[in-house]
Formats: sequence, structure tokens, C-alpha cells
Amino acid sequence: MKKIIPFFAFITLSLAGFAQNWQGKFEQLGTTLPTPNEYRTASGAPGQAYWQQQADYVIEVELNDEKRSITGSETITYTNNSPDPLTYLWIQLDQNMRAKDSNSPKIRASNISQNEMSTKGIQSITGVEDFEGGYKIHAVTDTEGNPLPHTINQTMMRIDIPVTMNTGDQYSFSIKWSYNINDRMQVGGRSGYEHFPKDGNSLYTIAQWFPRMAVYNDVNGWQNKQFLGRGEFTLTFGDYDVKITVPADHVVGATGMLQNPKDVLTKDQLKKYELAKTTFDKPVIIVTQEEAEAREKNPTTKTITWHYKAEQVRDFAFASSRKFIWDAMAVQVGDKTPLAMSYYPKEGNPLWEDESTIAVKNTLLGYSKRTIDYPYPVAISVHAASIGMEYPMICFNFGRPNEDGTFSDRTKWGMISVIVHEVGHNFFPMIINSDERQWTWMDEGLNTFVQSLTTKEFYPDMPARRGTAKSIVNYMKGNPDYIRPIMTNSEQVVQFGNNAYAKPASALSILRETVMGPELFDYAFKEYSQRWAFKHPEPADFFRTMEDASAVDLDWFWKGWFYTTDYVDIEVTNVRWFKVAVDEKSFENIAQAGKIENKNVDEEGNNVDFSNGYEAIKLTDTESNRYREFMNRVDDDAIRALNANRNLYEITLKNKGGLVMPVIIEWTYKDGTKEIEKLPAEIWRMNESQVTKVFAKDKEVVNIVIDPNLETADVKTENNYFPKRDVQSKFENFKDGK
Amino acid sequence: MYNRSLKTSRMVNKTIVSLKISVWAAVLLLPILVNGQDWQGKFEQIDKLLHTPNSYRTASGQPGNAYWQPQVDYKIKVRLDESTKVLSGQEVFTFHNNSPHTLTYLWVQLDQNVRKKNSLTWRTDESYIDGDMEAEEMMRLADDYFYEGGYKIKHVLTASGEAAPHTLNETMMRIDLAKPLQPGEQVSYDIAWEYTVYDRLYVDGRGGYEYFPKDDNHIFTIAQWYPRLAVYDDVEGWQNKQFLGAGEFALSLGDFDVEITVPDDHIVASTGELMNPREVLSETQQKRLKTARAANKPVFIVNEKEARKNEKSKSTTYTTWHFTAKNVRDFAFASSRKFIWDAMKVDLETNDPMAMSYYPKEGNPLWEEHSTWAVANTLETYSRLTFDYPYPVAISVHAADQGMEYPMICFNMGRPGDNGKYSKWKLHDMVAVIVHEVGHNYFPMIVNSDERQWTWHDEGINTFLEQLTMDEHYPEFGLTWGKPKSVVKYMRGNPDYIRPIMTNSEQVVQFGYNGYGKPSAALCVLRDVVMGPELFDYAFKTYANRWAFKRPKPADFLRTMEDASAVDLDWFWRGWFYTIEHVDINLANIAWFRVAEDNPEAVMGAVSLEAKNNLLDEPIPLYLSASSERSYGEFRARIEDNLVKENNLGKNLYELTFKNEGGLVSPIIIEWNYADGSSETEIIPAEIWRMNENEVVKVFAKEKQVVSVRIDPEELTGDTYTFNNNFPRIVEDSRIDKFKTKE
Repeated sequence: MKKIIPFFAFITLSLAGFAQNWQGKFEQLGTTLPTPNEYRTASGAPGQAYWQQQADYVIEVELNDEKRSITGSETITYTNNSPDPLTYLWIQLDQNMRAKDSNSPKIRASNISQNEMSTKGIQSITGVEDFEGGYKIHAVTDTEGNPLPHTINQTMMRIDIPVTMNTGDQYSFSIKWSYNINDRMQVGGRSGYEHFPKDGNSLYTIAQWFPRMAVYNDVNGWQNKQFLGRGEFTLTFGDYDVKITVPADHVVGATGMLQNPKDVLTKDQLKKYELAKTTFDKPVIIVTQEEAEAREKNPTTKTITWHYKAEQVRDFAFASSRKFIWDAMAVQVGDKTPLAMSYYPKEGNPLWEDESTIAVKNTLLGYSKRTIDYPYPVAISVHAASIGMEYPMICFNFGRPNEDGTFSDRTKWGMISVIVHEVGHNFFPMIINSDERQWTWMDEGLNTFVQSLTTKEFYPDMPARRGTAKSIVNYMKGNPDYIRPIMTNSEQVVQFGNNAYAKPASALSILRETVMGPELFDYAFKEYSQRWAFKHPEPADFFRTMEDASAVDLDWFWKGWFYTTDYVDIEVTNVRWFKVAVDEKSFENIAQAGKIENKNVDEEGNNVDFSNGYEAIKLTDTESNRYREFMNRVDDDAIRALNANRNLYEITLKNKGGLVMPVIIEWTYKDGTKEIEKLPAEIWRMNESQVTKVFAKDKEVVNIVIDPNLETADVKTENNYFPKRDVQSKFENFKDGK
Repeated sequence: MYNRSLKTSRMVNKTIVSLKISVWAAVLLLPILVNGQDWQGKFEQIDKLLHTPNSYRTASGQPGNAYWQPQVDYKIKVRLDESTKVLSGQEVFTFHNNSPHTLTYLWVQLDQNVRKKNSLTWRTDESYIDGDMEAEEMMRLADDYFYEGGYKIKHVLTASGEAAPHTLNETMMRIDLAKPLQPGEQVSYDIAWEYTVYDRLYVDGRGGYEYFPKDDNHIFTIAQWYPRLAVYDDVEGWQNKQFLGAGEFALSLGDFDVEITVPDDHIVASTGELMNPREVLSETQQKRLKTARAANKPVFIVNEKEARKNEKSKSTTYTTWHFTAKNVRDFAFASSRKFIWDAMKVDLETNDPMAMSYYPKEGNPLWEEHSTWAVANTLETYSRLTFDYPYPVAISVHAADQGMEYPMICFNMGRPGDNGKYSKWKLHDMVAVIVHEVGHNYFPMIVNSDERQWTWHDEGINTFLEQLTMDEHYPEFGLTWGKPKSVVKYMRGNPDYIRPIMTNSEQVVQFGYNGYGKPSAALCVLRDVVMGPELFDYAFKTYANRWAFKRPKPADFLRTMEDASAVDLDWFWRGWFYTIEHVDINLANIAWFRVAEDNPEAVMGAVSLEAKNNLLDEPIPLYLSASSERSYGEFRARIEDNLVKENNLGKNLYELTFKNEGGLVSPIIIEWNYADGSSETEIIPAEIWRMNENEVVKVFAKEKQVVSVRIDPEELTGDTYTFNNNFPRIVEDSRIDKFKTKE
């Protein structure tokens, strides 16, 4: 069929095209995203030739409580599922970030502005003197024990394997290593030990503790970008068999399922451990505070070995201390019943025994609903001071009462938030295994978003800190020198928390509530989670899936929110009020009634309120040339009858912040009723900086508010009102004689 | 091709560049749309500037599992008529369609058409008049060379002898296939042609002849002499961008069988192995050749005396030399009765090729002393850094005023004066050009990059290896070309005449710097400063081996260097290859503090900027205080404040302010000179600039007292202005010195 496009459409188009600085904000992302191929499709799903590597580990490790060191040996079996031949393998040596020759302190800027510096301050420049960090690699051998040539480059080690690994090949090799564990209080770090001077014991949270395979994939080849401390981890899935030797009075919490409970637990503990597996209503205490306190006092030098196994995890971490209290309960997630568990010293109580395991349970329920059913057998929260850090099935969380056991709401909400967040990380990035070395927002942003939905659901009294439109306003309107796009590599992000956690969470919240609606959003988000569970998604896979599964064109949204530092600021620039006259006589009457001598306008001649009244317009007969070839005619009189005395409001809006967004208008009528209508962001597609639109209303409008419920993160709400607020207040100032 | 000219070519000099390069370079630079700030994302990954990895080319930079390339085999008969200078030939090529695509046409390169009257090149070259003109200049300006150039295509026939439809477009000819060529199929065509070989004195060109008026003889250096298949690949489809003269050649690998008919007193040097020595060489020559094959120093096959004799014979009888070459991308030869010929064996781990030279007596004594040795030295160093030279011969032919490379053979300048005397620099230039052109066997002849698109990809990499070879074998020259210091003036020059390395060959200005010097310097910085030789050499060797006898693209190189080294190089490639920024680190200030004993009298507060400029005066006392309770968060343990104070008492703290004046982010090499006369050098990686690309401040703790600091003391980073690398400024120092001396 041939269609004649009305003439005026061309005029609008060409005018709009010329009069402005068009930036193509609604153009498709195009070459900004990688070209889809057989590995990753244009729909955002893994392609038919998608592949990923597998790395299986058998590890024996000993934690020396006296020397505070780790000594381990491992055999890695690496499976090459890629279509490419491999002649070298890259291994991550994360502990080398703390080695003496590490690049991390070298590239850290520092300055002295005062003639006074704290002892911690000078340690950050000189390093902690009595600590020698970094891996000692004692051996790299093949399965026969023959040494393998290897080259260490900072936190990465290349092993030149004697064979070429072709598609489907497996290669096994062994590494022996040791390192000194860092004191987190002094040296910092995601893992380490905390010393408790009162009882002389330590609490070990051990992570990045074994040489780990780097990821080889279709996007980066080897992701061997150095670990500098900021950009986190990129890891391959695999199965783990880990034997952990610790002092005999330690309790060990770890990734995976305990294989030898009979060897390491007392009969009573074993009984309670089994009981917990079928207890769904509240946590069962497996190791009590009394037991823990008794152990604190009589440390042993004997050792014992805890044996854990974990399947299809990307990493392995554990915590060990004789100070641990341990509780657990079962959670029904679909047809699975994972154990929610907590390990904490007495210093965490009474907060931890009351809240931790319940928070773990709530997280599993909240997240499973929105993504995939939690697939692992356990989910653990370990209490460690001043940190929140995630690993598969286990995480280390802050939240410590005062020494007298009292705690503020702030401490409690902070503790629950961090547990929900870190346990939530099981989904992003542990299962939906994004590349943290490159993109912080992909796990932190998505996780913060789901965290905010989960805490809202299970802890309605908790004040929302992140994940709302409102909460991101201050950041978005800040000094642009300190704002970078979300799509910035982790190492170059400034304002880390706002950039990678809060802004993406708010963006997704706005996407859900305002742009897409929860139904379309939740379906697409779940689709993304299911597609990429136990796989390695890239940003484009997320962007594409959200669009593909919802039929909402989101390129403008990703572009504005993720690739720029634009912000939302929509201004009501002008409102003109018209009344419709149906004939000459009524035109005169209306015009007369609406006439006002001294107009109340601002410097640009725009109305500041409705005090200027309305203008009259009349509806003339439709001229015949408008009908072009049509023989029939519209009923001009019927149209007039329908519109007689109607109010027309011509609203002019300016996009001051640059970020295009839906326009939400709240109309308040003279009779006190209100109405909200929403214009999609595409209203800005022809003119990205200013739009004018006419609304026909039977009722008279007394007040107009843009974004009345603060759901778009508009950074300046003063200019969202008509009658104008900022102008009015000036007027009032004048009246007050100021 | 050799282009070390700091003097740029004639046309380029006259090109007025009106384009604001800074503007479009900025577009390339910005991966994201940032408004209102000067953060340019210099450390962001360059993924968007590179093609998306796929099954043909992987993200790690190696050929993918579905990588393919066509093969083209040639059987050629060619006759060179010395009296008319007409070269006439007939070839049968066989194109193997290894692509997954069905093809309906082939493109054939007709490079000689670049010299047709009114060629695309001449029509698109600018020219202007600025007063009187040398006659030679007038000749070029008017396109009037006393020469009728270009191919005459006599026939294009199918394998069964039928005329094949074909269409000429300047230097490209399309042959419309009789039926679609399916993946895995092959097709042959028969082409006959002729063209007149040109006098290189008059007509610029990579092949041609040189005339020697004294003895009325010629040296023919014959290249781009037969219709050659264009490349069909996964990135460009047909690479049929016209040959304009600057962008060189994109070619497929294949096997050659070539019969060359020349006057029977000529000696022919050629790509490949001679198949009929008995027919074209005397018994003595054959015997000498056999001796040379086992010799560890050059052996004459034709000596100067014999060549002088040949010069006079002027035979008009013709004979045919038969050569074959396997897995080469091109074929060239040289022919003259003036040739002296020597050869020796080169011992490599897995191969023992022959290094050979062909030169007229005018090249001696320089050539007999140095050419073949230079060939051998090149093979040795390049083989170690890449892979063992895989071909049976490597030949250096002496041809005036040029350096030009072909598989197994190259044409090189370097001629002594009439009296046979030559300067050290003449020797240097001659050796350097031989190293360079023989080195081209690796890049692009074997590691077969697309020269039509990217000059740097072979020339830059090759210049880098050339300077390593020169350093190793000819240290006496102290060569600097290709090192960072040699491009400093260029990089800080007028940006209107500088373009990013990643610029198509035809649009490059300052060709020698852009395509040769700068990329080589960049690789030096990479090897010596950024990566270190161990990581660099492994990665570079990995690249060479992955892409030997394949067709790499720039991304394959950039990606391999990173993948094999675990050094994030995206910032480096972005800055050095995609922008025209330069390195200029300004050591703007040093403030000196010393940790002092607790002093209840001391007033605590901000340190003023004035007080901070004080390396020569007294240190600012710095007092250590106990860490606040707040700073411990939830931790129950505490630092031993007094121990920390004790350990640090008397330590010097130096707060250095660096400004990035040139825009190009760079590692900072710091040389500390201490009061006790000792010194220490440390390297701060470029990532120091990742948060603030313009200015960074960093505090260093030193037990000893520092008297001066110098940035990049050995000039390894390409820093374009060194006056601001010193603190205190050396200018001031020397003034003081002079002042003192006067007193």
C-alpha cells in the first residue's frame, strides 16, 4: 500500500533537524556495542557457538595460626573448550598485589597538605614495615613432577605448556606456594586476619589465596589485566576439592559442602548440623557462644583437616577461627533446600545471632524470585570487621555492636544491608559471571538494584540508601570533573560507590518503575539472569536482552545513563493557556473575558503563572486543499461542538541536563482533582533540548508539576512547577521588602 | 620500501593540510560521550576501535578456528627485450577459493597502470608554482616523462582458451567468472601482457632500469611486472583500493614457476630457487655456487673481473632462467651483464639459507665487503626475534638511490664515489638499507600485512627490528633512527602536519616519521620502558609466529602483544597509535619534608604552596600523630603508634608534582640523586595518570637526602622537552655554574 505522508510532517522534521545541536540521543548504539556473532547474539543471548573454559582444582592448604601464613599445593585441570589452540596459560597471583615490587603503590597518587600526618597516613606511603606480602611460588610442575617454564609478571603468571591444547583438550599441572596473611587492620585487603587483643585470638577470612586460572574467552582472549586492587576478579567455573588444615580447635566455614563432618564436629554439633538441614523456621546453633568462649581460652597446637567440595563455582574462600559461633537453617527455594548459615565471634552478638542467618535466608528468597533459584547447597555469612566481601556461597560482613553489646539502628541496618548485598553477590557475579576486572557496575550495580528490592520487601522499615531515583540526585548534579560514565573501566572510576553501585541501581530502578513498568522489566531481567547463569555475560548482552525481551527501545536510555555523564533536569519554560471559541461571537466574549492589561512574564517573555489568563482561539472551517484527493469531508461543526470552551495548554519544556527522560506531568484542576500523565522519552527525539506540546483539558488547570513523585532523578525540582516556584519566591521576596 | 628521509617527499612538503587534526583525533580518542570535563578516558579499553573478535580472528590476537586465506599460484613466461626495454609476458594463475563464500568475479592488480598518462595518481596530486622551476620539476609537473607507461593486456582467457570478460578500472581489473566459484574450488586464467620498463632516473618507481652511460649497459630491477591477484579476505572482501603510489601492496601467498628470458650474457637474480643452473651458468660458476652453499663467508660466483668483461660482450642472443618459489606473496628479479655475484651460507637452527648479493663494479669496494654480511646479520637477528628464515635464499641487489623489498630479494642503494671511496655514513646508510629491506622478508613478505591500508604495520615493525639489528651488529654507528629520541622533534612539531599512526597510507603526512620512525620508537618505549625486554620479546615472537604466512590486521598485533604479556596496553596503543599526542612530562615541583620528633610547640596546619618549593632549603618538619579511633572502624586491635613514629623519624618525604604537558600518558622514570653522591632510578607505570590525566602528585619516602631529581635520564620515553625534566631546573644550575666560574 502506498501512503501519502501529510505535508506538515516534513516541515516539522526539517525544522527540528536544523534549529539545534542534534546529538543523536535516540540513535541506536550501533558500533558502540560489539558486532553480534556466533558466540553472542544480537538478542543478547549466548550464541550457538558460545563456549567457556573450565578449571577444576584439587587443593591442600594449611593455615599456620602462629606464623599467620598460608601454605598450599594444588593441581589444576584446565579444559580448553575454546575453538582456539592454546600454547600458554595465564594464572592469577593476586597476593602479589601486596608484594614489595607491586605496581599498586607505585601508581597511587598521594600528597602532603599538612605538617601533621597520622601513623596510618605514613604507613600508606612507606608500607607496613614488618609485613612481607606476596606469593612465594615454590614449584610449577606437570603431573609427573617435571618443572614447567613460567614467567611471573606482577599479579599474572604465564605457564608455557609443553603441548598445544587443542579444542576439547585437558591439561593438568601443579603449583606449590605460600604467603604471609595480611593484618586487615593495618594493611587492608579483601581478606586477611583480624586480631582480637583481649583474648589473643585471630579470625581469618581467607580469599584470593591460591593461584587461580585467568579467564580465556571470546571477548578478551586471556583476561590478564593486572590486579591493581580496585578492579576485582574475572574467573572461570570449575569444581573444587579442598582440604583445609587448621588448628584443631578452629571452626571452618567455606565455599561448598563439608565432606567430613564426622571428623571435625563433636557428636552434639553433628546432630545439630543435621537438624539444621530440616529446620526452616529459625536458625539452629551448631557451635554455641559458650563453646566458642571456652576454645578462645585454651588454644591448641594440634591440627585438623576440613574437607570441602564445591561444584560449578568460580572461586573458593574460607574463614577459620576458634572464636566462631555457628548457626544454620534450611531455606526452601523452589525444589532445593540450601542451608543459610552464619559464623561470628562473640563480639558480633547479640546482633549476629538475631539477624545474620535470617538475612541470608531473605536474600536467597528475594533474589531467587527475580533471577534464578539459588542453586548452591549453602549460603554463608561470616562476621569480619569493617568489610563486606563476596565469594561463592560465602561472604565476609561487617556490623559489630559496641563493646557492651548495644548497637544503633544504623549499625543494624548497615549489617543487614551488607549481608543482603554480599549474599546477593552469589547471583551477580558468582553465577551470572561478569568480568569484574573490566566492569564494576555489572555486578555491583545490578546487585545493589536487586538488594534494594529485597530489603524493601523484607525490611520495609529500613531507610533506603541506594536504588531510588531521589538518592542519586546529589551525585548526578555534582562537579562533572569528578563524574565518569558508568561504562568506565573499574580502575578509572571516580566516586566509586556512586558510579558503580548507586547510579546503575538508580538507573535500573527508574527503568523498572518509570520507563518499562515492573512487568516488562522483571520478565526481561529474569530472562537475562537465566540466559547468563553459569556463563560470562558482557555489558552488551545485558543491554540487548533487556530490550529484546521487552520490546522497549532502550538505546537512548543506555546511551544517556551508562555512556554519558548527562543528568536529568527538565524545566517548565512556559505554559500558554487557550480557550476554544466556536464562532465570532463567542470568540469576542472569550477574548474579552481573558484580557489582562499588565502581563506577568519573566525576562524571556514566558508566563510565570496563570495570572495572565487565557488567549482565545477560534476553530475555522477546514479548507478544501487540506483534503487533497479525498472526496469526503470532516464534520467541522461536530468538532466545534466537541471543543467549545475547552482549555488548551501549550507547554514548553527545556531539557537542561541533557539526559532525555520520560516527562511525567501532574495536572491539578480547579476543582481540586489531580491527574498524572506520562510522555515517553521519545518526546525528545526530534528536538533533544526543547519540546512544546499542547494538551486539551475540559477542566481548568491551576497547577502543573513535572515529576511530582521524584521518580526521574530530576536534579533541580524548583523549575518543575507552574506557576513557577523560583520566580514566585523572588516576587515574594520583593513583597517582603527584602 | 626504505624511507628514512627526514626530508619528506616532494609532494608531501607542498601539501597544505587544512584539516584540524586535533578535532578528529579527539573523536577517535573519546570512547564515550563526556561533557564538561577534560577526562578523555585515556586508559579505557580500545575494544570499540578494534573489530569485534570472531571465529576468523580471536580476541587473543591469533588466527581463529575458521581463519582462511586464498592461495594464488602462478606459472609465468617473461621476456625482457634489452634494446626496446619491452617486457612481455604470459601467465596462468590459479586462484584457490579457500573462503566460505561463493565468488562471481576476481580482481587483478595492474600496478604498471599507475604510470599511464593521466593516471589517478597524477590527477589527484597537488602541484603549484613558486617562481623559477628546475627542468626536472617541470617534467613531473606536466606528467611528461618521454615514456609511455602502463600495461597492454593482450588477452585474458579462461582455462579452456575462451576470451574472458574483464573490466579495467585504473590499476584494477575485474574478471567476471564464467560460473560462480564455490568455496574450496579453484579457477585458472591465462593473461598475456606487455609494458615498457622505465628509466628510474626519469620515472619514479620501485622497479625499472638504471642506465650506465660509460659502458652503455643497464641494470634491470623488475617488480610489479605481472598482473597479480588482489587479496580477498575476511576483513576487506576484495582489497581493491587503487594503487596510487604510496600505499604499497596487498598480496596472497602462493607458488611460482617463472621462466625469464634475457640476453645470454646477463646474470639474473630472482625470488626463488634456480632450476636450470646447467643451462645458464658456466661450469666454473656452478662449482663456485656449490662452494658458496657451504661457505661461512662470501664466495664469488661472478667476480669483478669477469663482470667487467661481461660489460663489453653486449650479446643479442637470449637465454631462459627458470626459477620456482614456494609460499611467497610476490616475485621480483634483477638482470644485468654488469652483475658481480657473491654468496654464503647462513646457519640458523632449522634452516641454512644462502645470503647473496648482486652488484655492478660501481658498488665496490663497499658491496663486496659488506652486502652479503649485512644479509647474513639480518637473517640471524630477525630469526632469533621472530622465527627462522624459512626461504632458501636472501638476496641484496645494488640499485641506485632506493631501497625496495620483495620476497627473497631486494634492491638497495649505497654507492661509493667514482674513486671507490666512501664515508662512514655512506657505509652506514648502505648497511642500514640492506638490513631494512632484507628484514622486510619477515614483515610484510611472511607476516603478510596489508600494506595498501597500513604502512606502519610492516615499515614500523621492520624499522624497529632494523634498529635492534644495527645495535647488535653495527654498534659503532650509534644509530638513533627508530629510537624514541629520533622522533622527538617530529612529535612536538606542528600538529597540522602530524597524523595518527593509524592513518591510511595515502593520507599520511611526513611519511618517514609517521610510518617508520614513530611506530619504531613506540615499540622501543614498549620494550625498554613499559614491558621490559623479556615480556616484550616473548609477545613479539608470539605475534610473528602466529601470523607467519598469514595476513594479520593491526588489531591482531595489538591484541597479541597484550595477550601474551599480561601488560594492559590499551592506553599505549590509544595514545601512540590513535592520537598525535606526544610525551612531555614536566616535573613541576618538589616539596621536601622530614619526619620530626614530637614538639608540643609546633603549630599544626596547612602547608603553603610557597613553603612547598624548597628542595634546596631546609625540609619542612612533619609531625606524626596517633591514628584516630575513628580510623579503626570496627577493628579491636590498634597500631603501635610510637613504634611507627620511631621507625619513621628522620625520614625524608618528597612530594613530586608531575604535569602531563604533551597529552600522551607515559611511565615516569625518576632518577634520584642523593647528597652522598649515589643515585637510584625507579619507574612509575603510566597508570599513575589513570585518575587525573593532566597532573599527578605523589609522595616518596627516602632515607637519604635528595639533591636533584631527573625524569627520563636516558631519554627512553620520547619525552619531547627535557628542560622541564629536572628539579632544580638545569638551566638555572648552569647559570649558577657560569656565575661561579666567573668569580
